[in-house]
Amino acid sequence: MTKPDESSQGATPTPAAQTCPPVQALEQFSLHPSDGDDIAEHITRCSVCAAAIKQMREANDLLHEFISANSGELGVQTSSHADRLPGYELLEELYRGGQGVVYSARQLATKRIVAVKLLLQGAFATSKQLHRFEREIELVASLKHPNIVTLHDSGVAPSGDHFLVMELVEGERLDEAMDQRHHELRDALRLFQKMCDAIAYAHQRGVIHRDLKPANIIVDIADEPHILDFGVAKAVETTPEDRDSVTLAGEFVGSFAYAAPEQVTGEPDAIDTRTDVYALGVILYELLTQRRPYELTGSLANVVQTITNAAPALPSKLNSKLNDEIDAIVLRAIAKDPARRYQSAGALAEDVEHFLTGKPISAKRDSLLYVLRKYAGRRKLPITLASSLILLLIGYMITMPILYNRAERLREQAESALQALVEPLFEIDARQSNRPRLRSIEEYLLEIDEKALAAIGQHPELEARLRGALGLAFVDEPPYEKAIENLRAALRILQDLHNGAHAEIAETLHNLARAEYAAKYYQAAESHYRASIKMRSELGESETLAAATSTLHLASVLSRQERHDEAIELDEEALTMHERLLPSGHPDIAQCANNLGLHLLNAQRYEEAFERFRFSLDILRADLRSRNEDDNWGVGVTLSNQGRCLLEVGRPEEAEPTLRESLVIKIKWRGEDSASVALTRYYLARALLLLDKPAEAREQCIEAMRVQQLREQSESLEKSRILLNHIQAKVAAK
Amino acid sequence: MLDSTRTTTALLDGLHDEANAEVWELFDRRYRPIVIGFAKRLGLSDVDAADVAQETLTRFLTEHRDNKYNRERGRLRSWLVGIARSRIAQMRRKRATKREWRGESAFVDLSDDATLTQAWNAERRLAMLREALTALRDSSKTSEKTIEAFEMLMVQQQPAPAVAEALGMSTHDVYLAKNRVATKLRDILANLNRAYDEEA
Repeated sequence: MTKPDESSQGATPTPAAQTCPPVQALEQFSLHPSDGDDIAEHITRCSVCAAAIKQMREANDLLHEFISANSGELGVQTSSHADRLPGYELLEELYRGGQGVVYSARQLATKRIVAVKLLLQGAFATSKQLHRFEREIELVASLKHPNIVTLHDSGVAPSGDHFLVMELVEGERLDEAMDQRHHELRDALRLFQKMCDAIAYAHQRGVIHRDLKPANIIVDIADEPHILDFGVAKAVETTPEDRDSVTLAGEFVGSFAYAAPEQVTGEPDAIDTRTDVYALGVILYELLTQRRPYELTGSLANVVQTITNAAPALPSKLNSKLNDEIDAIVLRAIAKDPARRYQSAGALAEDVEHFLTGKPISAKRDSLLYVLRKYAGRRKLPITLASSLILLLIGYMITMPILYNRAERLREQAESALQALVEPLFEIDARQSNRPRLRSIEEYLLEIDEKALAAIGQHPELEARLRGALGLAFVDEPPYEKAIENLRAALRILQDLHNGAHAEIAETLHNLARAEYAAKYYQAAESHYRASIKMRSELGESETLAAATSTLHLASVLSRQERHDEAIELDEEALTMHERLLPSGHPDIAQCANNLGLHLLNAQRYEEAFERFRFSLDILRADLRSRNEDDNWGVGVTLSNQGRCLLEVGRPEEAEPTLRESLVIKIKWRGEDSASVALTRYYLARALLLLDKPAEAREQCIEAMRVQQLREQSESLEKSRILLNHIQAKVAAK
Repeated sequence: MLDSTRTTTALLDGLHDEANAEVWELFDRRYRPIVIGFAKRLGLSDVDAADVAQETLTRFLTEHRDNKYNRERGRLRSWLVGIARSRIAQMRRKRATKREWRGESAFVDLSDDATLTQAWNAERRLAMLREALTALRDSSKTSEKTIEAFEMLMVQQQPAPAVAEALGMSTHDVYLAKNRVATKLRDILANLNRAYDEEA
């Protein structure tokens, strides 16, 4: 760095050159611009000093960059400046709250006035919390939106307190501004829309606010909202195990009014972007009615009870200017079940926009997802399809806004494709009501093939997922061709999309093999399972449950081809892998043991088989006991296998009760018409025949044949028919 | 400390020699923190980021030794970013089921090259800044007192006259020390820029 008088050689001499301040003063000014009004004035006239200051600032900026890059290593050894923050001059205390104190401050390097929030020491009891804080802050700092208060910087003060440096916004907190302004409905809704947009922006970048409330929103003089403290709630929040009751009863009460049911019932995993939608709904309620949806008084238990159960008064009952459309929007936003809320802040903003422009609002229709989910809960057949679709929808909602947020047109295309995919699931029965009714699965498939797939043709990734989901939905239901066809198509698309090994391809290969196994195309199934396993290994995923499951399935394919020794070897491999990857006593280990047992049984190694079944049952029963349940499908299957084993070794008297127990459980879980139930009845009939109970044997055998006929299981039916002949002979002999 | 005298190009050439563990160590020390920081910027946890870095670097080494990395075809940065990106995507997929049901997405779009490049460059810059400061401290040409003056003035934010008094030098010398450090760091940074010749 050179002095101005040294570098002035050759430069145009300035009129004020002889009165240039000393270089120390310039240096001082470059570091602390507020301390030198005279110099500020001087450099407007003196180009030499102005250039010198510019150079000094560049050097300072570089040094500041070094300091912040090395903040961890450099540290600040002296504690004599504990009341100061490196790089900032604290000016005035603005606000003091539960989490910390907010000051206005001057950033020395840039001269700008900022807000500094000092988080109280002890905000992070554990290093895990501190770590979470740092990560969250990093994410929040990436948010740049006119309605989100920008986070400039964060760090640790010499005192050890963590601090956040934010944009300082002049204005009023929404809770203070609420009753003085925004009496006009449209103004209030416009303001609210901007908040929603800001929240939607943050959500698309993966940041959930978690503590939205009017006190966290500043409204400036131009009526622009500025949302504060993004992500801080998550960052400083304690986990259930380290949260004590005092905190719950004391500190948290302040925010209860805006806390969603999933927050107050302590389900941290259930908190997602829709939690913010709920808070937005309460804010809207309050903005429009000057009241909150619930009176939250009494004990903590009462408060939680109210939030999770009480029905709010209709906003239109509290403000005569509101109508039923506004009611619908607000109530949908604050629905107790997240699935019934707007699924995103953007959707909420959009409905407000529709209301303002006189278009129909979506809140008046029931949530498609909600209906899907309800339906999935009632019926058996389409569960897999419905849940695949829900997954697909959710997956879509996550990826699409991110993928397409820069290209509105593409987003619209994708949305219409999705609509085409979901709409055929429903039809409106005009005579009864306007509630959608789910169509039969066949009708759905007919339409989905032609319309939806055509519409999503331009989105190969979406099509691959849809095909994959459809295939998976029918993987266990005949006709299996439907599954195979869709999975093959998905595979082709994925292979075009990805060059070489890819996890999604490996997964699709596995599912395709499953469908082929079900359809008894054992050679194709074998080759696809092997391809999937090979690809997992190329991806470095040999030691995963996915690979272990493929190995387990492959064993079954080989067993069906009478390749017993190979099958048993693979079963053992799969079992060992499961034992390595899962905690001991996991039900999936029981499943492996059962399969191994079955294949040993097929290889006529009865004693070993019996041991495996017993091992499997021990695990399953211990697991059920720990969950206070009586039985499950796995127990039914394993018992049936064990019964069969006993039958094969000539112990029908032990086989009979085992098979009966299995039968009761199987019927309970899959109903009378299940092929698996028919199989158990067949073995029971054999046991009964050996025990000289031909009458009941006949009954069981005939019932098995009814189902086998129904399910067109010609091979099984043939076996049953032979058995029935034996039974008839015995009956006749009697 | 890191060897900033060897260019990345030189390191890459050295990597072909399997017996030369030192080159690999230098390369690893230079790029591991960048890949870790990069992965964290894209939303991974410390643990996952460390895994991604491990996988990325070993995969790179294998591919490089198999001559799959062809400098004609792409820069080192795009190569590393490409490997890291697929590892990160894999890591995300592993954690995907639970997240999908929660409807939560804390992730950057991995298909956006500009974002990835930006994240990479930011981490590279950070790595260079850290390395430069280490180099400055280890450099015999910069006196302890100069560095101390710089730290008191810029890091601890002490007024220049106070620093001068504490170190027994003039205020002018304090500023001089600061500027000397700035110049020195700028030079080191320029050298490092040449050394990290990923674009080559």
